[in-house]
Amino acid sequence: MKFDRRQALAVLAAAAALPMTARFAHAEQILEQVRFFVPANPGGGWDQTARTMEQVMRTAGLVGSAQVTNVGGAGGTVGLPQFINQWGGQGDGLMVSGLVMIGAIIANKSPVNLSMVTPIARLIGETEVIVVPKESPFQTLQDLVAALKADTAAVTWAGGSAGGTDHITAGLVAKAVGADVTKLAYVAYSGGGEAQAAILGNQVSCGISGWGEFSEQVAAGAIRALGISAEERIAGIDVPTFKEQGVDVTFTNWRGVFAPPDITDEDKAKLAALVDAMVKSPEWQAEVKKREWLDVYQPADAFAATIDEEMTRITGILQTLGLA
Amino acid sequence: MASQLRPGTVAVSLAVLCTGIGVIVTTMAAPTSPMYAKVGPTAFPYAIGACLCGLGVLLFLDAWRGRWQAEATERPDERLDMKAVGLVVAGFLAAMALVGQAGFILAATALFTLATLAFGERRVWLSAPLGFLIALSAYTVFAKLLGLRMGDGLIERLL
Amino acid sequence: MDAFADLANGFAQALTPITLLWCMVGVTLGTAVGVLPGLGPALTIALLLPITFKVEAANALILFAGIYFGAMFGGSTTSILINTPGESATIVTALEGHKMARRGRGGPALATAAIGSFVAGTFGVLGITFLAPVIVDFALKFGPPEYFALMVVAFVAVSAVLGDSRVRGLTSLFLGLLFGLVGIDLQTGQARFTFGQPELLDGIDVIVITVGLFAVGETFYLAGRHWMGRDEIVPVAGSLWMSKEDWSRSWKGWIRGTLIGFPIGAMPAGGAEVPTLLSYYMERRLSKKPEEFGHGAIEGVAGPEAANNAAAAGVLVPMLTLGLPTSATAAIMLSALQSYNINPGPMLLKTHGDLVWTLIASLYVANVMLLVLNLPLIGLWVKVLKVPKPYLFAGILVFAMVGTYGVSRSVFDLGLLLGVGVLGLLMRLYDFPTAPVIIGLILGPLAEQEFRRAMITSQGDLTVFATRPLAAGLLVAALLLLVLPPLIRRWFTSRRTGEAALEG
Repeated sequence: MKFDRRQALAVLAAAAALPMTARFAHAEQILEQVRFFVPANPGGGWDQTARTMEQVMRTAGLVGSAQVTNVGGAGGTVGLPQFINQWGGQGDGLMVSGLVMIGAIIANKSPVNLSMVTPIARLIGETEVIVVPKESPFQTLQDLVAALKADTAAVTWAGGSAGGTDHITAGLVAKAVGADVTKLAYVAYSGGGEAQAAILGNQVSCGISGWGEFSEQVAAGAIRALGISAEERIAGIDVPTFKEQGVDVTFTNWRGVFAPPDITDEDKAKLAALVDAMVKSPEWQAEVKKREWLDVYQPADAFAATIDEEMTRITGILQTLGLA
Repeated sequence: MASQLRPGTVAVSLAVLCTGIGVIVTTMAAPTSPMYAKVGPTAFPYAIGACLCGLGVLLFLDAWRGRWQAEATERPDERLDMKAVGLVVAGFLAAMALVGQAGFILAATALFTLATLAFGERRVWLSAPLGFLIALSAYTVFAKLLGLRMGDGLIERLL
Repeated sequence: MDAFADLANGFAQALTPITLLWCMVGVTLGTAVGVLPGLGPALTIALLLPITFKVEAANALILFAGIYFGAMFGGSTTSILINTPGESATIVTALEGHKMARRGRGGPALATAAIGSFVAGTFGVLGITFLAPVIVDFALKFGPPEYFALMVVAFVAVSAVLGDSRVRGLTSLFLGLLFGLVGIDLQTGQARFTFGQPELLDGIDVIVITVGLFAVGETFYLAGRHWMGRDEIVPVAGSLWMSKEDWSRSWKGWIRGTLIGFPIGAMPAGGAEVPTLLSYYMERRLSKKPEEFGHGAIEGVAGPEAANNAAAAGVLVPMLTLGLPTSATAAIMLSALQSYNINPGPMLLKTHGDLVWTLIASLYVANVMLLVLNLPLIGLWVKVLKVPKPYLFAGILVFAMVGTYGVSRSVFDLGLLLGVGVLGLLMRLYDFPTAPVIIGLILGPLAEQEFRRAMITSQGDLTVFATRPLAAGLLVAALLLLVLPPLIRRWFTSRRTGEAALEG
């Protein structure tokens, strides 16, 4: 044990000297430090958002230092109570969350919800996309819709966990075309990699997920995109919308940031200013473009209203799916 | 045969049986989802509960016939040192109570010290400072250098 | 051969002094986190991600590759020496490895684990280089019915770890299966056995159960019996190094473990636990000295350790060829690529081939480095056993706390650790084997989800398991494994008694 510890110490000391990023301030520092709370495990969408924000805020000189804490599980409903109970009043805390958490709060009948934290801003969005294996007989969304109408249970869908955004979108599509939603043959996978493998291996009829999950596979021609859930076509994505193809469903999975409960108005204003400055920075704009996110920035008040609307909408969908 | 009957093994077998029954009862009480699934979320729990019941019965038969050769039955005269086990449990409880307010370092020091006591190390003046040093270095390495967030506390604030 | 030229280029990149230094830091750090219970490579790499702002892509990847393989090497050390596996993939190693260490054969156990890891890593890197496309095609053929059939094979293999009493072994297994049910059901979003605790919604962490049953349970057990003077571990008896017999019993295990581990690791839902279990089962069945199993058989360390490391290399196949992150570590390594404006995907090898080959070459370099570092260290590691018991086990508890509370910051997890530790004590007292609990906890959810996925995709038609050749083949194999060994054993014993009768 002794040896192991000494060895570990030496190496950690060497390694830790490295991540200290150079700070070249070209903007005014708004906060000394900011601490991100990510209610998901490292590697996922919220985590990437937090780490991108951390990077942008530091390189743009908006904050002195930043840290990320992950408390993953159950669509964020494991982390949320912790953020509410342990982070209350801490003016340097920012939780990254999104639409997925609203669905999870409803489906898990969570005792806490997003009205107990302080909305700061909606940041980015991502469109959902329906894809099929390259061997699939479905060429357009209509082909898929026709099959869905003929025998709902024969069309199998691969996507994320039950009650998540992928499942909700699939349910909305089935409902819009008049198929029996309770017969939807939705196969839930826990990680993006597994769902992609099922589609690549032609194990399911179609797949549904965020565009970022599939974009590289689509670009490589390994799978075919049939339609996206966005309101209108998106520059750089050569895929028609559901609406264009006669399926009246629009859906955007958004992510935003929240401050802990009970923070002072002054702290709230500072955090809002920090996020606003970050969104307007060229670094952030470049990241958004690079990662093919949609910029759906909404400041605090508009964001709070959006959350209320989404709560009602998602509750309705989950009830028809039998999940709420 | 009854002379070989050990109350411990009987209790364990009954506990397994009760767990099995508990699993089945809990599953029956669970709401069923109307969602499309040929095999629903209750099928496996029922199967596992039923198997645990069956295993509980088999364990009971083993215990009843005295066929259960185990540490606890082989040497019944050599009792487990409950005081030592209690000290380790106390170490955990102390750590759980302390970790929120006093912080990781003091909580881990308490756990370390009580665990060394359990192993018969009575020199607390030696083990407590050593535990503190180990906890401190673990905290420094993981929280300070690697950025693992291990919470706040009395000592942590001074660092 | 294009691959050769590309690989040579990769080696040229990976063998500069700077990259070697990065690799060194990576493997040492990786070994350290592998040794500590609860902390794994995924978390370590995530914590080091900010490094990508500062360091060029190749160096960061080399560092991460070093951590990844180093953690695999380090994981076996504590399993063997103090029966406290740091992660689920090294549980099987603890079965025989710790028995060896108790008999003073910790040195050879660590050596066969290190060399086995090296052999598997070497073949793994060769496999990535030359077989990746073939392996990926094979892995993608695995749909839900095939995965379920594979799990059935694994369940048959569990019989090798059930211990003396089938009933008690199976009880342990079903306890693990029960733990595996806790949490939100993936297919329906319904919470099961959570009793209103939000901490249980995401299921019980394998790490908490592993650390609780092994590290904490072992501490309880030894504390409760310390004054009896039993369970004294012999630090070293005989040579630290492997004998000729050790070599001849190990090398086949290394090869077989690699052959099992690599393809299963490459499967998107394969993981490292199933191949280690299958390898242990196979070694036990094929060993010339099966009676030594359960008392420290070296094959039982050689095979599973090789399988574990080959699976770790296999995981990189779908990541590098298809851009599929099939493990937490792979997902984080992919997100590191993104911060370099590299979009991981099926085009990765074409667009950033140089980087991929550098990574593959540095994996190999890391492998060699680990062997060179670890073999001389065996003597030092074995000295860990000379640390006075109170301090050794109290120290283990502190690190168990870092690995659970430090990662989740949840007092609930600490309480769970205590509860599972007490369960581990009871299981030791009443002679229940602990390894089947972990195996049940890992295999159960996989088997259940794959079975239900298969039922959804086939619309409830059970014949999918018979009509799909791969699934049917695996199920037949499982059946044969179940039926044949007893028959063969009967045949052998009858023949042996016959011979004895002749000699007599």
